[in-house]
Amino acid sequence: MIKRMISLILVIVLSIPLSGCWDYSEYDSLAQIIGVGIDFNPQTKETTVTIQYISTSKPEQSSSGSSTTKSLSGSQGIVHSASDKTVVGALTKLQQIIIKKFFFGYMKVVVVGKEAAKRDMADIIGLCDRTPSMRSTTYIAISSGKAKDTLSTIDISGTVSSSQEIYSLIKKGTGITNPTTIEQFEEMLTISGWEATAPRVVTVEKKSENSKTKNTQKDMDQVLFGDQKVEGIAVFKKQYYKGALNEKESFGYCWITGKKVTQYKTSSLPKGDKRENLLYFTMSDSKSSIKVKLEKGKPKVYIAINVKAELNKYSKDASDEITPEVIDNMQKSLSESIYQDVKAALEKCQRKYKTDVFGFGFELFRKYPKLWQTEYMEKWDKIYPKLDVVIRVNAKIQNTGTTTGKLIVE
Amino acid sequence: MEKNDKLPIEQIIAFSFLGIIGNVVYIHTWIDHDTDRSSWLAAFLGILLLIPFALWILYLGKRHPQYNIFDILYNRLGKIPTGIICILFIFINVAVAVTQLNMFTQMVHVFLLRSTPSWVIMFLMVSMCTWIVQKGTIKMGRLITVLTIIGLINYLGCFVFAFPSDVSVKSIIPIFDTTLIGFIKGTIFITCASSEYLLIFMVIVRHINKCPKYDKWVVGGIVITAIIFSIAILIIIAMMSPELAKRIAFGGVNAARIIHIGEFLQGLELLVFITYQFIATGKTIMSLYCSWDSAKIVFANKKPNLQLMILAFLIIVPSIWLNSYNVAYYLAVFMSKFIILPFVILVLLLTTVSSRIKRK
Repeated sequence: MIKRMISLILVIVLSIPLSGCWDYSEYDSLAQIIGVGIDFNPQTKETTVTIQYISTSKPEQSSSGSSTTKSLSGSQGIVHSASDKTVVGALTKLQQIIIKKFFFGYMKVVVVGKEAAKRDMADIIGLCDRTPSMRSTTYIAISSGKAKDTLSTIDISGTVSSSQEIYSLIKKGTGITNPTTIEQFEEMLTISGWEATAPRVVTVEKKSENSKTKNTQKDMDQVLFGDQKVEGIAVFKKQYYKGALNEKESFGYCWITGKKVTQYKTSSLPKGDKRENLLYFTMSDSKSSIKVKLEKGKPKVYIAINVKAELNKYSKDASDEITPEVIDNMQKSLSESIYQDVKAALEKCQRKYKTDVFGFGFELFRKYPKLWQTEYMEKWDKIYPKLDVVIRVNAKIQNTGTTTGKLIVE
Repeated sequence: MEKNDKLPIEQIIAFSFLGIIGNVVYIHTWIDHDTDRSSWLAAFLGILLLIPFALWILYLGKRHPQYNIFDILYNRLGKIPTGIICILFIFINVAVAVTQLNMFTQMVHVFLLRSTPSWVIMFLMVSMCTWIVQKGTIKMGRLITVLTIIGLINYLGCFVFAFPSDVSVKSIIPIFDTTLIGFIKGTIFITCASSEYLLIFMVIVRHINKCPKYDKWVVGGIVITAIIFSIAILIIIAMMSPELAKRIAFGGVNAARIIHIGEFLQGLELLVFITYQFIATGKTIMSLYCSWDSAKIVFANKKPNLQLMILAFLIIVPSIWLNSYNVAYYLAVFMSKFIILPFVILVLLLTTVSSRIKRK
């Protein structure tokens, strides 16, 4: 009997801590952050952190000290920002002015301003990596201007938050960018012979009549209307932002690294050719292989790119019927265009930025691990800009859609 | 516990598994700087190197049926020398349980229950383990078996979803990108870290059936564990790259956080938490059981339940006092490097020598 009583008392006593009531929080009491923006001001040496969260209750409006707030209704999200010497300091300031407890579990995207990216990405990535509630599968994007402005910009339709919009655009991966998660970025930072890249986001302001936005001065009290455009790739040397690749170079980067490309247009036209003669394709498959060989004691890179495409737009001045000869010519044109993209990307990254974003060094390590560690790792920065690269492109046009000829207007 | 109880095959395998997969589940990252991409292979070989020691214990156990290693020592060396060895053994087991509890509860604290005090979880776990140990070897063995099976299903079931999108061959090939010395250092460290198994095996050896079939299953249990553990490390490396895996605190959990099923399900770390909890529970049970068994030798089996309570208290107090996984990590590394395996070898040597001297 005594044993049973003791067991019963134990069950009752233990059931209290077992319920885990220490960590209980109401859904409404959480600020479910969907986007974080990080900026750096070189003049004041201060870091500004902007957070965006979806309201689960009535929107609030506040302003305190070095922090600013912009409340928007519904799914557009509430944006707050604060400045401090460090990212953690700014986040602490934000938590001091927002009564809701920050919850980063649903975070979609981290937008880093150009200046903050130039300063040091390792700090930002280290914070995301160390904070258990931040998921490493969150996407990262580099803003062409200030991350604060990017997150504060409201979609003109008013149905979606800027973080959600950027997330959706990155996730789509339309071929002129490369979706990069925090974990992938961190991986690129830590692997020797492989430099980091991240998608670049450009905010396009809309000159709407209803908008109160002034294009010259962005005031936080005003509402910015516009669109987000994920365009191009930001490249890094170690943890420092070096610059951005334009559309052509970004395509080149995607071809080399075997990233998914969905839509493509030929970029090279013969001299004097009309713009109407550009060919448009839907890419059904694109693969690449990078091989590094040592020839005469020097590393040489061989890139083989194989793409399969479907024709979307036919050349205006071409023959009426799409014969095998015409397809052959178009394949040559497509191959040449891809080749030019690759050359452009290599030129920019090898000669201008001198950063191995393609992972040629990593491939050399994989082929000759001992040699890399003993000989090449130290002097890779000097070897890489002069590296000999052989490009081979094999493009195949699988079909021309639902027609076998162009539309002839009589 | 009854001296004639014999463990069935599945319990022998389960004891091998949870015996080996103790603190090594956290501290295996210690070898990453030395072994790089070959850490999974070092883990495989390191665990296999336990086989000679296990066979040594089995050999001694066969020569003295119905006795464990400490009973043999007691019979040969007498009360005081055995008492000193048993007290050392108790302290080592307490330290193993303390590090294990700290690693687990701090992991829960970091990822899951930020506000729940760690002592609550520790207290609950030690209370549960005390209750289980008090029930006897066979019931404890059954629980260990159940924990092992469910834990494995959880763990492997979780990482199935990592394929193929979250794993990269580039992270695991080339396999050997390290020096031979680095690889050997890593392998030896894993042997030392997984030698926690020998602590429990020195005690349960009297419950191993003495026919050769059971010897094979002792070896089989070690081989199975080596395969499963090395596969687990291989998956973590393939998912995170060895460069990232080097600095993470909780390998399985960190890797499981990357897995996502569609848009809705982000991270499967909860499944891995369950496995880690089972490992922590199993290891604490084993440490408590080993300590209790030795305490009964030291105190001539007087008031065994009181001894068990005191031992539970001995585990819970330093665990609460430590309250840090960083310190626990380095303590576990220190014990693996300098304490556990040397102690086991010393005890086995003493047992073998004393046994032979007495015979002559």
